[in-house]
Amino acid sequence: MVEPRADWKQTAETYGFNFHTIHGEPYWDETAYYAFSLAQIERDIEAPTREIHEMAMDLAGEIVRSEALMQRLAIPRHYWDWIADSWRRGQPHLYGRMDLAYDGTGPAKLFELNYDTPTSLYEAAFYQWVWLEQQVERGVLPKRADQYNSIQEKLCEALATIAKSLPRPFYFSAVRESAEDQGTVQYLRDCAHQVGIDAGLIALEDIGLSTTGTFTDLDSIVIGTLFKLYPLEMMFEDEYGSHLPSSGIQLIEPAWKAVLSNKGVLPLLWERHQGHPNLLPAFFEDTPTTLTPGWVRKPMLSREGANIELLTTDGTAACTDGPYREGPRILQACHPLTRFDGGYPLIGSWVIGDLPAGMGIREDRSLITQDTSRFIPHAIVD
Amino acid sequence: MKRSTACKLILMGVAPLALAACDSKPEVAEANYKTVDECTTAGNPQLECQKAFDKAQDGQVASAPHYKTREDCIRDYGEDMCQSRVDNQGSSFFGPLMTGFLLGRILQNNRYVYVESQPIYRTRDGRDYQPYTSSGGAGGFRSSYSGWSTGKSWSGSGGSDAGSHAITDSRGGFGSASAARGGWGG
Repeated sequence: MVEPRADWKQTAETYGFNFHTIHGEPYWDETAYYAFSLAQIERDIEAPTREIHEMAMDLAGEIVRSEALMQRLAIPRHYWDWIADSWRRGQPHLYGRMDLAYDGTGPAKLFELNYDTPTSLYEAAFYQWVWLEQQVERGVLPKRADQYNSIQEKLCEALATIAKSLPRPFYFSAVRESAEDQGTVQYLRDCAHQVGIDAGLIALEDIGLSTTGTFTDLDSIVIGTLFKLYPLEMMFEDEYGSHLPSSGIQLIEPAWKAVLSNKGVLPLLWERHQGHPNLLPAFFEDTPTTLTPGWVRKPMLSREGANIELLTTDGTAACTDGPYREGPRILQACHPLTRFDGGYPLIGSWVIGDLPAGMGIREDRSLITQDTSRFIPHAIVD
Repeated sequence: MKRSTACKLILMGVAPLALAACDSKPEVAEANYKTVDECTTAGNPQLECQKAFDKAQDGQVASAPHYKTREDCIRDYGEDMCQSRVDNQGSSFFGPLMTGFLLGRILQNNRYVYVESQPIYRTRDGRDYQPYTSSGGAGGFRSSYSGWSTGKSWSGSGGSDAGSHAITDSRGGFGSASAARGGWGG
């Protein structure tokens, strides 16, 4: 346990971190930090992240070429050609986060990919970095202390690289009422600004549809590129969704990310790399499986640990409620998180562009990590 | 070193960010007329009235409400008011007949400048629908706009319009799936 910086709340607000407390409880929690060795980071987190990302990208290429697989993932047919086309054109992606279970020993296990709308970016990339710098400066952490976190540096590089090819105007967008999402898109826009990219902000609800089926900003100028911190599958459901393929808009994350933000990729990865040390056995619910007794049941499309059912080998059951009550599900072998003093930590390992870039740890009091889990900083200390 | 060598913020944390907004639009006054005669009788220059009428008529392929079937169109606009049209991509659709047009004007340097005009369509329940406002905003009924119901399908124009000015037909069609579920995350 460490003493939180006395001024942590003010520091947070100075840096625009306006969602440090959620539902009245601290979301940013610096009463403790997780300590790693460099070897643990490089061997157990960074290297597997690179490898899993490559497997995921290979799989994405396979899925977009297969109507059968698109169907398997329950992607609406209306969007198939558009998704495949965005892949063929090599429309750039910016980031993704994979959730890994890791307790300091043995291979990390992939819980899932969050490759369309990964959350907790700002706190992992920026605020966690500030925390480390300040704790070193104040002598709380040794001078040699480091952190696995070049997320912001790589974000800026990635934005600078892809910006040339993006149709303008370029907008960052999120749901108006979400302080957390608005904070994240402001942060991304800040990164873009730092590398000389002029980009606007628009609330998702303010986007207009023109008489010719293009999407417009508040000045009725046709939007060229839209970074949307909003799930692709929800855009599909929205009133304007059906216009996406013919609108000409370029999205970030691009349309092809719809195939990787779907938990159906977990069984597909397992089929292709059965026995891989970083993968857990996973199956589509409607196929006969050999899974015994410990399993986790997840909706193919769900976020923030919603609607997860879990039964461990020793009979411990847990489940979460949520809005994703319908739709196909997958089963994944249960690999319960290891309990530490503060709870059950889950590692969010970031991929920026195509490079492993850093991590953030979220800890929950239960076995299922949810949107109210606390963010705990980490340090590399030897 | 495994961490960023430097991290800074330029825009955040300094001052709250304003969302991109359009608050510098000139004030446009607009009036609607059924015919060019009615327009000139109201004191507008004959030339401007004729230009506005022609432009509204020419713009109908883009601006008329698009319906997949004649029945859908008739449901909103009534018998004898719907005709088949072909859009710029060669797809056909049904749209209502223009029942009037709008003339917009801006006061500039103490004289009126007349601006883009558009058709007006009268629905079977007697309301006037305009596809967009003269200031480029979302259109609607001249009185109480309640949004379009089923059956409407705008045709897409595809890719190359980025950065150009368009006529915004509506707003608010993104974000409702999230609202319905009380948010999302990942």
